[in-house]
Amino acid sequence: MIAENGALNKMISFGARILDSACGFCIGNSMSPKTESVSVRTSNRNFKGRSGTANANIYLTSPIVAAAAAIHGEFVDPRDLEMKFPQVSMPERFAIDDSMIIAPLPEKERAKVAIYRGPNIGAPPSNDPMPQDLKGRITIKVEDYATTDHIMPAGSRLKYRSNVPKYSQFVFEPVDSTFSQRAEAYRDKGIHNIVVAGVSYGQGSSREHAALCPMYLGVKAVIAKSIERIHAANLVNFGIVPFTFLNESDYDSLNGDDEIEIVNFHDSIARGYDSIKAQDNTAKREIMLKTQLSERQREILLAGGLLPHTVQKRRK
Amino acid sequence: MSFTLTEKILREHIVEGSYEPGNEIGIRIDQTLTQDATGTMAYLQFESMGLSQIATELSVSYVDHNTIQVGFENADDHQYLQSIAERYGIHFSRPGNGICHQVHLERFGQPGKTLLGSDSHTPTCGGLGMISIGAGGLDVAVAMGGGAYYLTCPRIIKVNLEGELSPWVTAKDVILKVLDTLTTKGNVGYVCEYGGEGVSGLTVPERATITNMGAETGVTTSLFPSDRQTRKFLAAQDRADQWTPLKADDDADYDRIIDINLSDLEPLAAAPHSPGNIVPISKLAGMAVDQVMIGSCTNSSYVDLMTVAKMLNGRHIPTGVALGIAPG
Repeated sequence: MIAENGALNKMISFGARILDSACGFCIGNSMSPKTESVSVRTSNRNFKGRSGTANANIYLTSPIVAAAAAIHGEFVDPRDLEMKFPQVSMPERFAIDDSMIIAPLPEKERAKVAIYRGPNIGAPPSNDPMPQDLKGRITIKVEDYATTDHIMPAGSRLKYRSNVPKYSQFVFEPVDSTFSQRAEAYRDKGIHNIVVAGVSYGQGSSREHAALCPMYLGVKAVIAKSIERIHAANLVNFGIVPFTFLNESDYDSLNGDDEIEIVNFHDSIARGYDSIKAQDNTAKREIMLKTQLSERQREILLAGGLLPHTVQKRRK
Repeated sequence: MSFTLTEKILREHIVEGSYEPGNEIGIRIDQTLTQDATGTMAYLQFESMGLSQIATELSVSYVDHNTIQVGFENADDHQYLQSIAERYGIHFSRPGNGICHQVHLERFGQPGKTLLGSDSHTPTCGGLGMISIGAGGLDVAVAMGGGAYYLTCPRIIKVNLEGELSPWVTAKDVILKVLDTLTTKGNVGYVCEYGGEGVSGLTVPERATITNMGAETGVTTSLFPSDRQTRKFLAAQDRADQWTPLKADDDADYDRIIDINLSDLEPLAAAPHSPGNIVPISKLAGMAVDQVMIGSCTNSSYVDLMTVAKMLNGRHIPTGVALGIAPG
């Protein structure tokens, strides 16, 4: 509409640069401001660095305040402008053009569509139902406050988010770059991977990949002194059992590569036991683990995660 | 019994749990939206569910995030998303068509429905009187497959609006005032429900600016009633048949009430580096500005852009200032 009625022309004549009709500048994807500058924006977030310039100062305002600043090169209270208030009303009828929206195909033609997968699209991740016995190795032991950035680094690795096998190569990279190779080797031999952690495991970003990629690598359980709320929920969603120690001092007795066994792992979860015995076959001692799971979460874990659980429920 | 608007819509959609604030409840999702940055993983997860088509009333896949395509990865991802949409019965909004929230508000949102989106600003459609919530990709994939979405049954904050906006003061200043009051912390598990006489003077695009940036308070979503303004907007979008009137009962109970007189508001800004760090523009007057960026899912309605065009008309940008406009 603004192209047809000449408004776009007025903006361009003023000296505005017209950008893609997209999120662009708001997600730091373009138009990062200069060093230590003041940028006035009509978007919704001004966290430090989000604009793409770490030391820029971002102010969020209405379009009117922003336009006034563009005209004068400084903040102006628009009520002080020597200008008549530009009264604009919502149109009685918008110009409607849905030509850039592709409507769904007729049902019988859909099955013929070939899914396009470029090299950056990985195989969809899946998981098996929970095994009857858990028999595996402590593939990694991390200390207190391991964040989701330790588990699944973002930054330069984030562009692989659509490619789980590729992104999984970087699980725990900042802590132990050999983790993914070792975990994958165990997984391929049918040995379950177990993560042992300290306090507040999984704090920070809510990113699902911190559970999804360990699932892909065959992690079946996390045993920690405590696990953050969102991450614990994500672990359940991807079929990884979040355990805590009944006695926190057991953390000290567990060592990397210890062989751990939980007999009747499946049935213990299914029956909702809140404490479960694990055998450390390497140190030849028993430790007690706790779970705090709702009935829904237990069903999800037994199915191998939220996706297989949803499929099962639909088939019933 | 008297109900808030949130409760009315949620009760219509509840499939698991009982409606008690703080409880986990499962709700049926009518519509979903995804954008390209979170969408690829959501659809990979949807694919692995092995369904032949979506089970929602409507699902839309938007491409609006990684449109500056440096390297092959994003262009490939967009093509993947398009083919997925064709295979499973999903609408596909091509790159260039606009920002998901803006387009969904205009072309698909519907009062009384539920919308789950893999983007935190999904509550934009609350401006239409629908429950619209941002969530993770897997939650959206499950909802597309017909599964329930689980959330904490919310407590309700009523934002009571009186009066009407003065010239030069806008809906953006309303949400900045709300952020000044609620701050960006301590609101998890709440829904902001707007009401009061001042609501009737706000158009749907203005309401959408408010519900969009309501995300910054941390609430589950924000919601306006569906009234004559809603009907007017839907009619202007040639969708008058999708209108239904919806509002809270007059004697509904709220967990907290905030009063805002629109007539008293002044132009505001969120200063660095938090959307909750609110200062009046009058206190910033005179501070030099290097760059101005107009647009985004918060503020690129027709009225927003036309107002800017009228203000800029016949003038020229000062040296030393850069202005970018992204029509959403």
